[in-house]
Amino acid sequence: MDSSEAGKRTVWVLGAALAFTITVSTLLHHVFPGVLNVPSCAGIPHTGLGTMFLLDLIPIALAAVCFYHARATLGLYPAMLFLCGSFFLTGLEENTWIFIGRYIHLLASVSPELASAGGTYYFTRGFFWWGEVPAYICLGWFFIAYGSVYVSCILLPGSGLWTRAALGGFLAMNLDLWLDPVQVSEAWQSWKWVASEPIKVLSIPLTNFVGWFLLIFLFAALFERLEPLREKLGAGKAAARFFLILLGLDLGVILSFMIYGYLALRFITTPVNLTIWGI
Amino acid sequence: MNEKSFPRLFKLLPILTFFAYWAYACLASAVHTNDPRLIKLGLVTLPLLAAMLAAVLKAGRCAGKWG
Repeated sequence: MDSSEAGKRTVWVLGAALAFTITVSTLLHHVFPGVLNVPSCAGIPHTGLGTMFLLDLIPIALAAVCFYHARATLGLYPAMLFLCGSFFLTGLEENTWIFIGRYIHLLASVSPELASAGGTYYFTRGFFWWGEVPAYICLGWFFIAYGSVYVSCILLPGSGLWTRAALGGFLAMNLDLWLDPVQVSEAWQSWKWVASEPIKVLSIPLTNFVGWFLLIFLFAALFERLEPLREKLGAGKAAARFFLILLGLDLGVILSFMIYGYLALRFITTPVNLTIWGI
Repeated sequence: MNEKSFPRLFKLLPILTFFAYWAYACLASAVHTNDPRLIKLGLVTLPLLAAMLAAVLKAGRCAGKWG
């Protein structure tokens, strides 16, 4: 099936889009930081260009291993859609939140509640970028999604699509419960939270963990529908439909979180932090 | 390495990758912080470790498209 011309063309287009996006974003971030108002990394550890390049190599290698596995077991076309779908879905989601936070003062004129939000978050470290999200974060989403969905398929082979997708989302979120507090600690400061979201878990906004679950869950469920979509529409149109649905899911998650954020800031007056050992 | 030469190891690649990232981004990074609270916090990922272990044990019998 991967030998079809449309399938090959789709793979090439996606590969070119990925390379173009990363190249332009990386240049903008490092060479023209003023364009996107890149925050200063003064005082952040491990932010030398050489160090950041070496640190990027680890997730790149892990993503390469998963892509190799996906290509060998599913085929090049599904593997590329899994890689690019998870890369662009999560990158778009994260970029949206980062830019909402960065330009919150513009939105504050619409609603005073937004002004009290103070911002969202931003990343401090990365050699390769997509927008204002390090490429290694998006690649991490790819192999975490692939690994968690793979584990759920092995553990629940006879269960329905939604159950497997839910387990995949839960496993990814479970990893993040340790990952986030460690990576935002003083020793790493891989990203900085500036959000004043009233409900936090381990000092991390609740929406972060809900987002991890939702993105992997929705992506896993949609990816399992890719093959029937391809048989019905052909490789090119199926890929276009796949990315359109992803965009719709992205917008849905962002909109629901914005409504939650608005309501939380308005009605939850005492901040809540579910924590252990004061983390 | 390919799936024909090492079928068992090939099947485990996504799980090993997942585990490697857990070991690198969570475990090793937590040790680097030198904060015992952050190291102990790793206990919250026990469900994930249990799922990965179960998947490794079950991988040989999986009949799915990723089996």
